[in-house]
Amino acid sequence: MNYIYLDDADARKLFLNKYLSKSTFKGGSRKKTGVLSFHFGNNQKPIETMDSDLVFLSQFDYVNIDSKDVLKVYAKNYNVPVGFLHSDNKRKKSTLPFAEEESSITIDHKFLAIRRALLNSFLVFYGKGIPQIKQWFELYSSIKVLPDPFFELFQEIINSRELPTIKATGQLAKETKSVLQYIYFGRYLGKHFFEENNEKLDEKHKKWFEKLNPEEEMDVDKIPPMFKSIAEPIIGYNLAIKEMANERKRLRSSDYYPNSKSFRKKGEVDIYTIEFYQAFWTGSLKQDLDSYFHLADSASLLLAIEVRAYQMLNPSENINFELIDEAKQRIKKTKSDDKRSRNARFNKYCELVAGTKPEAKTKNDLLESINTYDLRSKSSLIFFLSNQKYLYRLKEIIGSFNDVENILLVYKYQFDKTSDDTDLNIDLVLGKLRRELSEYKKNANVEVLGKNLENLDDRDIVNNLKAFLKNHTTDKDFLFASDALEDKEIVKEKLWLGKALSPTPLFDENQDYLFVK
Amino acid sequence: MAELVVPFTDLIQKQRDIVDEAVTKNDSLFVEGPPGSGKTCISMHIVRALIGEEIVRPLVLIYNNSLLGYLKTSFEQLGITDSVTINTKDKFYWNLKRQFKIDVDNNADFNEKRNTILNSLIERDIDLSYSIIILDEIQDFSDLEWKFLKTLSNRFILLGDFEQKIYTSDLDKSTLLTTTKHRILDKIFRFGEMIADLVQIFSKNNKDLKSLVEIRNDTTPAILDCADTNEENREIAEIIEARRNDGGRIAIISINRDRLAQISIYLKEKEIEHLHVEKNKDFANYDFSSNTPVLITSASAKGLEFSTVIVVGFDEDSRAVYGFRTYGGFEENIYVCLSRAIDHLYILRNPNTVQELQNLKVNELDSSDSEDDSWF
Repeated sequence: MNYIYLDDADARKLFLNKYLSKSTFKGGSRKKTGVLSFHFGNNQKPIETMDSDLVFLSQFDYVNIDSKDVLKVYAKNYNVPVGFLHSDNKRKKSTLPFAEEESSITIDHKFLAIRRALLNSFLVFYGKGIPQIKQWFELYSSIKVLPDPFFELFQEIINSRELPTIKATGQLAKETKSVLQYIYFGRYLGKHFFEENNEKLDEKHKKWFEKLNPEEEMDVDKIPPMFKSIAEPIIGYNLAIKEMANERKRLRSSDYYPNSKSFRKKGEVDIYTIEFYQAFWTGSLKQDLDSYFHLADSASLLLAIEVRAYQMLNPSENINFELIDEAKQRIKKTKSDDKRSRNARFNKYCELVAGTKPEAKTKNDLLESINTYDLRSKSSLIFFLSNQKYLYRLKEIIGSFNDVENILLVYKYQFDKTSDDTDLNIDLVLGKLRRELSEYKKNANVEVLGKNLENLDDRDIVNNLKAFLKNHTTDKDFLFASDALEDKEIVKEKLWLGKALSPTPLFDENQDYLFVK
Repeated sequence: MAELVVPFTDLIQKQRDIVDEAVTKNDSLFVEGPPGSGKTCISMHIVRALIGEEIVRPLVLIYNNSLLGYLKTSFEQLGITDSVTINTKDKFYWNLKRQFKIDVDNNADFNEKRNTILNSLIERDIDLSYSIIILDEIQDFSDLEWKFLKTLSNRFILLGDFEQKIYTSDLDKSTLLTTTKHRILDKIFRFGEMIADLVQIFSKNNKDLKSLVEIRNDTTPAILDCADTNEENREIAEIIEARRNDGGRIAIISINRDRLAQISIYLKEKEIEHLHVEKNKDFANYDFSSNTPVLITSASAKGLEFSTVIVVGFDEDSRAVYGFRTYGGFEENIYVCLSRAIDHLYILRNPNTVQELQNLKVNELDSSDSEDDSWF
């Protein structure tokens, strides 16, 4: 079975939750129309559990969708890498998926949080070098469930979307967030372990826990008996509180903040396990890790993480899963062999990454299709104007070609800083140009946009060009002309057009990567 | 940097439906709802959904400068920088007055001047058009303003709540209902039940705000009684220190501009970073994704929300209190202050604080935290 076939509702579930469980999956060796065809990566197939079959998103290397409109819906709303979505026809679908859907998909927040937690723990160890990666795999093998008291706490973290705090009332109203989180945690442990002591820590345990205040230097020595077996996750939790407070400080200040680890290694605790849990707790809250997807080399590792997340939530289900060795070999080999591992992109290799940014794709592929003076058969015209006195050129072009139905004029101007007045001035200039052109070419649909050349952010003009192209033309059925005198200016205009031809809106230049297998 | 636009997947189904409907059916929309119900958020999502699908050149008109900075930052996050025009509504009209050299009678009152400008603009049929116009606090627009603005676009998103009408305006709700689709947001997402209880006291409408609350946290407001304004200043400094690392935005809100100036002097002495502007218009270029604590009047805070709100300076002998008591709007000011808080609300009182705030009591569900001095 090369493909499994999912309807829109199941596909949504798989994209949002990153796994899907069904009694059985329908599949075949060819892609199919009317459904989404998910193509398995090397040697992948549904994983059997006791009473259902499971698939994880990391098992697939692409999905085929038979309508480009539907593809756009997924690309836009479901955080799926554009390159993961394939479509080889331009069939317009009259009804988009989800349009008539009554209920929304239930998101498995627990699974996603554990996936983030494990993935973050891996990324932290991976960033440090090969010995640490080896340690991570050992920890992966040994930590198969969350220690008993922490599962309930994990649910609290998911509910509150942060490490939970006690209420800042009365004497506590002026305590910092990290202290409020620390108190919550101490009380949580009291509730869990010292029911007979009014749910409060006894003196010995309290004394030890008081030395873990995240706002002070921690001392982890002399672990009291009840905490002996869970000291590492407890210390890791308090370090996570500290790390997150430091991160908040860093965000609001350029000051240097020291590493959150402020204790020396003591014989009683294992430093790697503490680091694992610290990364686990912080990672569970890093929503951006939901946007980390696999490449070929990382698919088995991410799958190992996803399967383990599922196992942690469903410990009774016996899942036969052997990929961890393959993951280990691939990751260690990649790390030791390849100097690319030092670059930032590779270090985040599980992320929505790889390959060609839109700019590169533009230069290589798209510009060739934009032919400035191939005018005769075009119904749409885009004209970049920087000097109003050259408006006559545009009129000449329009006058020569009766077939032009849609005109987009992009007026380029330069202001250091727009004020409310300049905004209105530009609006009035655009209004005047629009009226003039509409009167000159009465049957044409005329749109006018402004682009401030002082503004280096191109998303605005690119997205508006995209909208015009989408609604009035195809990528080859338009005429592009300009009054620019310099090549550099024309290249910039072509770049905007090139970016505008990519299928999705541009929201974040840094994250708008295309996915390459 | 704080994210101002919440992800689409975080909206509730009703909000998502409104966004989908507005986008797919190309209709003008009138969204009504209480404070914190997500009206502004919805309008940003509608604009976001239109990006790349149709040409987006919005005009956004609001009524005060502080929201201007907030919206500019939000649009920047969406990548809309060159194509958007955001302004306070009156400044927009007066800019047009200058552009078209419209004469007004300098002795006339403000509304008369505005009407002269608007009538003149309607007659001139000016060259100005936008793909979509968003009007905030639509209940405070006049009929003539609406008549003029309708000439500038075919598509509108109107946000407001006719039950919270402050200014005398002749724009009838039924006028809007004939041209727009009316959608109601009836849940409050900004604050929890405890704050809703306090806000209710100063609400003009009869809705039970507490029953509308749908919130993840239930923050207990903290009322801090101080001996004098000096002690209040010290408390403010301590609260800022405690809350500044939470990552959210902090506002010190007062009805009294002079009191904010005093607080600013104190914070400067203590070298505590903060933003205090002499004139409200300076808020226009303030980056609202920054976490710098901001000193802001209750009038300017309308429409905004902050993680931590410190309410201060409702002193009986202040000119501001006297003015609002005499000319109206006093309780609305308290209402605005209290309803801006998302996570933490601190109300500072001294013996000179107005009776309305002296009477406030926080009905604490669980007082164990304040009585027990042991952490664990």
